[in-house]
Amino acid sequence: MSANQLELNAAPAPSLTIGWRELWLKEDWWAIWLGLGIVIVGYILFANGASLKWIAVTPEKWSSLEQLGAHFAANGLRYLAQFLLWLAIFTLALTALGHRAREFIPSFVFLYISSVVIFTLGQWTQANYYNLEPPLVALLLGLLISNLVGLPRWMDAGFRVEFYVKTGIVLLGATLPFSLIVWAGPVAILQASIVSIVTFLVIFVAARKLGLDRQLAATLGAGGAVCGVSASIAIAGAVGAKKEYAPIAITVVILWAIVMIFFLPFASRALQLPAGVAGAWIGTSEFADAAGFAAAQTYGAFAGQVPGVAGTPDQAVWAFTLMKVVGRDVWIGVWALILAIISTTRWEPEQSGRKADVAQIWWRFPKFVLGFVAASLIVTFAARGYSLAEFNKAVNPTLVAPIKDLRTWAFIFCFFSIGLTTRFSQLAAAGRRPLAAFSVGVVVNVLLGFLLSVFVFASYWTNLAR
Amino acid sequence: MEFLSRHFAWLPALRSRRNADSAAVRPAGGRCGSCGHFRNDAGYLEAAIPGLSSLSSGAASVRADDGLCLRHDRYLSARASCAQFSPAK
Repeated sequence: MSANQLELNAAPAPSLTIGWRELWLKEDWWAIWLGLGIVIVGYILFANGASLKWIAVTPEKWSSLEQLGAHFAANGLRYLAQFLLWLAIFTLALTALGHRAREFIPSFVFLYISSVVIFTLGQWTQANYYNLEPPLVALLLGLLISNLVGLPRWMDAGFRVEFYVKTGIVLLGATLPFSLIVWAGPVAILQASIVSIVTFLVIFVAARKLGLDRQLAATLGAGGAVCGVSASIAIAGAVGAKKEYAPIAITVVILWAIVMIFFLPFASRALQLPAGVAGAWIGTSEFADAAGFAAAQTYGAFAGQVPGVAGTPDQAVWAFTLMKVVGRDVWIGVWALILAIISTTRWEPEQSGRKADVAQIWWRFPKFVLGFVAASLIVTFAARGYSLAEFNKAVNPTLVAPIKDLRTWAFIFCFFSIGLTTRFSQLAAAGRRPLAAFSVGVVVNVLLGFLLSVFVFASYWTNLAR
Repeated sequence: MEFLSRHFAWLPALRSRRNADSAAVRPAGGRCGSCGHFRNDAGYLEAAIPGLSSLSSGAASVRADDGLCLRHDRYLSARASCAQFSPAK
């Protein structure tokens, strides 16, 4: 879309601040409404002796087409009901967010059917042998379709990467004991803070040495240090960056994030890292939540399946979540405030129309994290009074496992959407200097993240939830 | 005082003083959020910023209410302001 077309299509300038309307105009809140809604319904059913299990159907392990056919013949109605559930709640949310139902619905039909195929392929008993982990298959298939075949742009209405991953993270909260967040959260914050500050400074200094503007250096640095594309756009706004800076940083972040989806799990596998340790490493060294979950879930699938990889799939995903979401994402508002203060008082003091407002710590807070914590509290409350044996027998299969299965679906929608929305030819040209500055930070980040995860804090991550 | 406000403007009290000072040189006018040059609709930004919807979103909380100023080609807060403010029609 050209600049002129954009100007013609632009909506009138909105009101000054979004205020309470954020509750229905921001996807973070919709992820909370949908995710917590599922958890609360699950809890009510559980309390009344029922379960979400019927609708949370997933493909089973299979080794022959006959088995596969029998599974779908027996469960066709369940898949249809699940599809309608997702369609109804996502249509509600996305139309409220300004998307057109007539564009979202056909797009989601394509997304859901493709996700069933991807999920089913991952359940093949030989899938591990051929590295057909669903996150990687979803990503690669999406990339191939979007870059070689191409889909109409209107279909992007259904490929909402961030919305699906945020909904999945809220659901993930229900599978993570609150005590674990309290126990491991401070360690995650400490480790993530060390890596984030070092990474930011390395990228910033490298960018300045290469002659890049301070605002671009900050936008790049935040993308590498905090939460990828989201951090870059947040910091670009906080420092009042030139309009071309955010697209440059976004291009570099996306390229490295996709590289890391493959590099981190396979490097961890080669090093035979325990699942929790690898999850922590991915949490410190991947750049975006969606990409990180793809890497963490891929490695989780190796746990217990690949010789030498100890731990459980949950440990990889939990360690990643604690590190990335609790350790890095929630601090974006603080980063934005600090950089806004520096920008308005040191870099461009003559730009008197901008000022650093402390309230942006809240404005920019990734609200879906509140849903993640609330979901954890609800299920921890539901599980109170049960022994471990009783929990495994009664609570896990009827309450936690179905929510986990629905979470897995949300993540597959997300992983496939990453590929479908990443059109390399349409990304902004980043240039060699921004790429070089960011790459220096990546190297330091990966090495430091490895050091802290594998040596300094290894006992925490190896024994996570044991 | 000038030295303090230039080098320690991050202190809230001094910042207030600084903003009071700068208000004298800032023309009266609305903030960017109500300016005709400003665009912060999520769909518009996703179309204008390549890759934004790939690993983030125009409707994400972290973006707050920032947007593009078409007058100065800047991406900035809806709470900013400048001399070229033009009320949205």
